[in-house]
Amino acid sequence: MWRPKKKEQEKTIDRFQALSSGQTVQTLFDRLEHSNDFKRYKVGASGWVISYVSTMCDDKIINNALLPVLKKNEVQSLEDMKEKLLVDNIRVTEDTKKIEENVMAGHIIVQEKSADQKVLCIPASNNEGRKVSIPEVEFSVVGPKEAFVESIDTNMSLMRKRLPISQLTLRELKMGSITQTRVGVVYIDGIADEDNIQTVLQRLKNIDYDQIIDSSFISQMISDNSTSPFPQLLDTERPDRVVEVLVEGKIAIVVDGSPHVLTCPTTIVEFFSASDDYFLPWHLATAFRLIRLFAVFFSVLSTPLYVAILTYHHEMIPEELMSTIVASRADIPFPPILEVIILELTIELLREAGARLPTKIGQTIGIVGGIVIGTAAVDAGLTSNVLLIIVALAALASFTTPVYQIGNTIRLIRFPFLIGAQMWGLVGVAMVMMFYIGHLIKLTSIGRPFFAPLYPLRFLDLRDAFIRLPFSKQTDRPLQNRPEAPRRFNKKHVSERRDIDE
Amino acid sequence: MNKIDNITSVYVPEKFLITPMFVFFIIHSMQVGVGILGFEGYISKHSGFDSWISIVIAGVFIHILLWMVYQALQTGGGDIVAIHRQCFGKYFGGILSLVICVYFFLLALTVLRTFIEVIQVWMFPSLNLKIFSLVFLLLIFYLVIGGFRLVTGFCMISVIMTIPLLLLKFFPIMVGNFNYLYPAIDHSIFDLIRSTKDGILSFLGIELLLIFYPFIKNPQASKKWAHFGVFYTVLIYLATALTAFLYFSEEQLKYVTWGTISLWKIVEFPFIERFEYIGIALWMYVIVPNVCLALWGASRIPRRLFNINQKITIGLFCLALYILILLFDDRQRVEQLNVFANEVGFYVLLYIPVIFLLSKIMYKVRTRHER
Amino acid sequence: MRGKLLSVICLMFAAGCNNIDSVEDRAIIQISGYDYVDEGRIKGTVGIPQYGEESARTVEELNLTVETESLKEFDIQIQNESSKPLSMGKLEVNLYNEDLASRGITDFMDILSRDPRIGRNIYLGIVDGDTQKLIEGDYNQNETTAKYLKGIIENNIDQNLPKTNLHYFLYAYYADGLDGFLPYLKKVNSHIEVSGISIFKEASQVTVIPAEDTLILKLLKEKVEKGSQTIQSDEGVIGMEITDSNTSYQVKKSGDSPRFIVNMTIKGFINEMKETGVESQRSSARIDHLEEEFSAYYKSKAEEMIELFKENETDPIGLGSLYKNRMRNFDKQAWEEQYPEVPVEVNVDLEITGMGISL
Repeated sequence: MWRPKKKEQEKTIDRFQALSSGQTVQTLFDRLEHSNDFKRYKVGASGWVISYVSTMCDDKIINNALLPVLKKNEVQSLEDMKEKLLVDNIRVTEDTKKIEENVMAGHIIVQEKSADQKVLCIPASNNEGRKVSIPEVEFSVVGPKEAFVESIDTNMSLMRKRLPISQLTLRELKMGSITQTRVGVVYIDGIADEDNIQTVLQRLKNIDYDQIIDSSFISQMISDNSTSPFPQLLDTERPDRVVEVLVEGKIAIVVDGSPHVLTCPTTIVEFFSASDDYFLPWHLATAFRLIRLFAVFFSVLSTPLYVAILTYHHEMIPEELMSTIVASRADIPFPPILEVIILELTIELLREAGARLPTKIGQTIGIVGGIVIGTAAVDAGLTSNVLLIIVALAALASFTTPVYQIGNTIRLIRFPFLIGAQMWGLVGVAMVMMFYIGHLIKLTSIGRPFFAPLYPLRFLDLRDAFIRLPFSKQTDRPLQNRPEAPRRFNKKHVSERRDIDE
Repeated sequence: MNKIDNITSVYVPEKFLITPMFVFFIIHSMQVGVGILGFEGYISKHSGFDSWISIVIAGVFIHILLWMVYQALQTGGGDIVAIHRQCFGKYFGGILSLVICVYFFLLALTVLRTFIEVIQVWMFPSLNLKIFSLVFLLLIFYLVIGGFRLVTGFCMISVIMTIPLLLLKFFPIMVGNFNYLYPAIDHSIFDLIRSTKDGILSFLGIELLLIFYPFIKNPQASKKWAHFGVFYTVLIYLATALTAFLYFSEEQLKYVTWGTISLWKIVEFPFIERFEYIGIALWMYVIVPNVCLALWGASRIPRRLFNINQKITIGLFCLALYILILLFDDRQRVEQLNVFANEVGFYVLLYIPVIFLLSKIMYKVRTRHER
Repeated sequence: MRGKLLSVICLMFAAGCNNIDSVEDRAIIQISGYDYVDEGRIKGTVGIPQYGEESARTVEELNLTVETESLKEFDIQIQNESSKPLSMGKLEVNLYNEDLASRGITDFMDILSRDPRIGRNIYLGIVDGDTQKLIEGDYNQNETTAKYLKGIIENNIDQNLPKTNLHYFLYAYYADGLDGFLPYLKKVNSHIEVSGISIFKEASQVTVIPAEDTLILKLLKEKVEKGSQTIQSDEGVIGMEITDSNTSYQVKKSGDSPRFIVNMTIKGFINEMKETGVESQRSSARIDHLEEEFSAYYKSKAEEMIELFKENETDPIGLGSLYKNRMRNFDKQAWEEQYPEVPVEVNVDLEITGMGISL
């Protein structure tokens, strides 16, 4: 958990804070005039003063709505203007703090005289942003193709569109002492557990940090154990996925400026379920889920097992495989562990390079790395063929995780396994595994157990964990979220059996 | 004595309670330890292939003892410390509780040391004992520090993880010789009783209930799970013993120290053979909950008696384990340790009926007194 | 906490730096054989495959031979000759020559059953002649001798040879009232053949069953699903392929001495018939006749074999073990005295299910 440091609060106010405290409208505008995109001038005969940040404002509102009214001298006072202007949500205020917020958000400020404290705020922000596009990180072949964007309002509308009910609640907070980021906690009132909501809100309030650039900041700051390699909040860019979990009684955290929405409480199995699982028939979805689970284990354990068996337990290799393995290893100057580390690091390099480069060049890197470096390394006798296959498969398998965050975890956690394997072979691997299982049992997500359907064992939740049963069997919302309305539908309707030819 | 002080009444916050079903996993994983890897040899020492009968008899005894433990705990209000306090007073009761604490510690030491011995014999003859046991104990420390809930979770994982190992019994059964498992009872009752005594030691572990009882959310409902746990253990022991009897000849068994591990030797898959290496590695998942539970039980008693921070006691116990493991550094001493621990375990089992009777009498006296 | 973790990691790396040989740095012994030299001296030979470049499909094999006084010394001496540390973990075949076998192989059995690195599915064999020559022989370009020999034994087990490997031998070796047997191998020019079964009493070879009778022992020991036998009948040479068999034993006890009844049921079809002029017709009478003839053959052969075992006071079928298991109060000493005289009755129930697809 993120705890605010008490010492900082006792410190004397620095220059940054000094600037924003105890100011009047006049001093605010004086300071703003240092920026060249701040405009402030007199309009019309009655000398109205308008001020705005030009880069944030929509020209159309100024030209079409405001200027005609001012120039024609139709209004006498600010209140009068509030009535006459054909713009929504105009406010008259004297609060400097609010004026500052508004002007920075793209409002136009109108004053009668330049020294007046009383001003009129006309919302005119131009809301420049990306259009809603298809999801790129969590792509799915079938199903909705909308992804969240950077604007919290658009994101909320994406959710509200799918949940047209009054119970869908948004509690907004301002976070980040400098960035003043809007952070929203979204839940369905009456389904989501009150304790969970309170925990989330409390943790958000406890955050004291200057900038909140992305939802991942929040994710790291409010997670129960921030030293764990496992993400304890699930982030997704798919509105359909968020809606799905909201209905299950979870809580979503939306952050302005981030196209990823966090959901909590979450469990380890949720990271391995894709939204595709719900778009496919249940048995297919189950099979694919199990394949994915196997892939994860393969990805993490294959190279450590290679090290363990080749270094310590060569008795385990069947005679038929022995010649293949020994022949390919015969000329390698390194012990298995070094060989594996070199190759794993190469793969990690390729991944990092691929991730940092534009898509088109990224593909080339993949080909260059995979084919050219791979074959060259084998030809040069630096790594063995067998290992190349294993490492490539392991890398491939790690890409099957539907959530990007857990993919990173999987990339990293195999290195302790490698050390274990090098130390004591299979026993070492088992020990590292045990450490991770213990760690996972200890972990919590917003105070709810992270290893949930497994421990504490919840048979009902297992219906949608490693396997996915048909919708007709998913009668209850997951117990993990402690939903206040646990039933999804009445079981009786499904269980009615009909005879043939009826 | 009727006054309820902080020792006689045990309060455990709801957050740390476990559901009754987990008693199954705890009981089972506490019973199955390192012993099952080689128990075929010593139970058949006296009564040969007829010793499967002794397993059944031992199982029945354990069921009865389990019933007694529950009775004692229900009337005694809480755990063994509370019962001791009520029956023997503050000082003598405390000393008896400490004896139980030492017994749990001894259990942890025996299991851990014997398993390290297995690793030394089967996998790494030149194992660096100092470093290995250090890392192993750090791992155990990390797990026990997680509290009873984590240890319980680990028990469950261990039971689930070892189910596939049971399927491997298929391989020796295929090779085994059914001709010689004719159910003729060729041994005297005396022989059977003697191997029952040997067999009962592999069921040690129910006595842990004496200490974790207050952690069960609904103790009444946990009864049936505890009995299921014992029953499952009996089944597994029976299956293991019968498979070994199929695979080994009666005289051969006497020469086999680790029967179950030897059985894994013949498991072959196209991509992997000699399964004993995987088997031993997987067996760590049986050993670790076992040691963790014993250690937790051992560290819980000082906490109940003197209110010492449990983290500190666990740390101290781990340190003591480390030193003792290094002291028991050869096969003979490990063997002696096992014999000694079994001896003590047997007396602890004998002690259970005593507790049962005492707590019953105490209950009678107290209710009469109150009336 | 962090400092503690760091020091642990450092320790682990420090421990990781000890000298470990991974698989390619070891000399993996696949086959080993021992010869009798003279009283107190044995000659041991090991075969180590040398896996080379992937492109070259041929497998070279390195053979090392050492003559020593004891087995322990053998281990040391052979290490001296090798450039890489030797590993016994993948031992596939272990051979003894006949001289050694008839003098007893107790020491070897002790090592094989004691060493945890050695598997239980390895094959043992007795060599007629010199094991060194057999191991060093060139048989096949693509296989090592061990693999070749293993193939031969495995293929024979599918046919007429009773199941055998280290486990079965140890089982019998330790059991009361049961003795072991091993395949009897012989190098013939450039190949190896199973030329019989060598029968043991405890750890020493006492007799050898010739190759044509191995099926009888297999029938007595286990279920045969694929075995073939040719007999010389009055009609000519007839070959029969067994598709199914079952043998059950009964122990009857009258007074102090037991009596055994062996019931064999055999199913098979005729797959070879060298005609001797008799008209070939598929008549039920003829099949009955063939059945009778084969029954008589198996019965007499089985009885002969049991007699042979009794003469040598060895019991590979496990009659004693059976007796011990079925009857109470088994007395080993008394049984061993009774055994040569114990009556065994063999009943054969044979059914011919087919005559192939031609008349």
